[in-house]
Amino acid sequence: MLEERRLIGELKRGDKEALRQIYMEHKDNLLTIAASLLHDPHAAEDVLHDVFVSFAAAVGGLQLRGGLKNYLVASVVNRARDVFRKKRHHLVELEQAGQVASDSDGPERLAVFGEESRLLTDALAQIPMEQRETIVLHLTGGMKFKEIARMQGIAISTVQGRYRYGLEKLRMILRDR
Amino acid sequence: MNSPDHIERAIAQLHLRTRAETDRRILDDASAALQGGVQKGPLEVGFDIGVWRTALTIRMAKPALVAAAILVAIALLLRVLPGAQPTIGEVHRAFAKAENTCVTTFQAGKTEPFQQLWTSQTLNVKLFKVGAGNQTQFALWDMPIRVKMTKFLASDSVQTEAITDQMLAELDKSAAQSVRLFPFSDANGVPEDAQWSAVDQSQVATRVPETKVYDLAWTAAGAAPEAPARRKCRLFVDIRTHLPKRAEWYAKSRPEDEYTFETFTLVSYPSESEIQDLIRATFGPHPGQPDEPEYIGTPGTER
Repeated sequence: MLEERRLIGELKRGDKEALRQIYMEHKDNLLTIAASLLHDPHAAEDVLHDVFVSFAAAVGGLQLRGGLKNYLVASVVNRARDVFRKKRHHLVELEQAGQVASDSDGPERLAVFGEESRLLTDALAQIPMEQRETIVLHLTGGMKFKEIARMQGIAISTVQGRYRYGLEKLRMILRDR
Repeated sequence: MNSPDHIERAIAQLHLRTRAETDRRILDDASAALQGGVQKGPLEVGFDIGVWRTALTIRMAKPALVAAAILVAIALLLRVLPGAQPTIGEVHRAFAKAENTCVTTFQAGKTEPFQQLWTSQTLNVKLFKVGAGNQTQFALWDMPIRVKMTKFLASDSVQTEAITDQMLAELDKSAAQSVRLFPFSDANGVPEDAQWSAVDQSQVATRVPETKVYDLAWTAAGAAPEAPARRKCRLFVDIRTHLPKRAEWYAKSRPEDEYTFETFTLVSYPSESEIQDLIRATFGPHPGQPDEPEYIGTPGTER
């Protein structure tokens, strides 16, 4: 925590090395979270890019109430939600028009995760976004249920319910494979 | 992989690594943003807090800080007062900050544009219109979902393709070439011999309300190295916002020649919904959902 405060302090003075250290510390975890939520590594990289550029641009007025990691995770989730919403809407319309197929089976994406992980992320993509978010934030982001509840502005029991139902759906989807 | 424990363990072990080029790109962009973020930090905090707290802060601040704040306020005031002369860099930055723009380029003496480009930073889209009459083509670059849609008026058909990184690089080049608004990509690219000067309105044939006229003249590489060309970009700049509203491009081969008028560009600043309406009108509503545009974009209100 002290190290984190030191880095934030240096960052506020414009220290690029502090920015690099923060980026290197969190990048893979944030990318994994974004890719798990979006089922699309390219979009996940864009999310990571936007989050860090916005973070750097806003650092002068940054006042962290919780830890830096939770702040960055929350930023990734917010961006991912935007991307998911727009992508879903647009793809549905294009598919209805018979113009493109969904990109969820793209060969590039298949190559990014291993086979078991691919099955898992395919299954994650089939459950509702709220449940997916809860599972990914808890298991990949390492957030406690009460932290997720605070971040999403919902009751902790709702978070626990989403987690339980989501996990059960994943189990059923993977059983049928 | 069917027990809940196994699933939980497997999800916790999911791990992706960023690519080296991604790291470079993000760190470069974030470092550039950091400079702006550090410089504007205190100002943004000042806007975030309420008037009452601002007053308290100022009352408690050291006199030197108060004096500095007053000087900054005066400087800001002078910048928005009509008559303050902007630099080319300030005009450039004002345009770069504009959320939604429409740039229409004409050949001198023509009334039909040869290209139009709508750019929305809030929607993160670009819409090009090229050609005329039946040969008109519209190309929509929808960045949030990395899809390019091209509409051919002649066949009334729409072609859709995924946007690749290479296409994006080419887009940046072609957009810079086609905008014909600023001769250089940013103020740092302006040559040392360039001259930026206000033009007497009485010497200008075209009238654009609420603007002041400036010339940027510089020497460019000509057809032959020993005969550099002289170029001039005349900008009509809004007296309050410093946004460009019109640009005229001139060139001459020899110093003693008169400048030849080549092209001119008109700039307007539509709203986000106007751009969405245009896209809907161009690409049409989906047959099954007549009230919904096929194109959705990234509404700023969702942010």
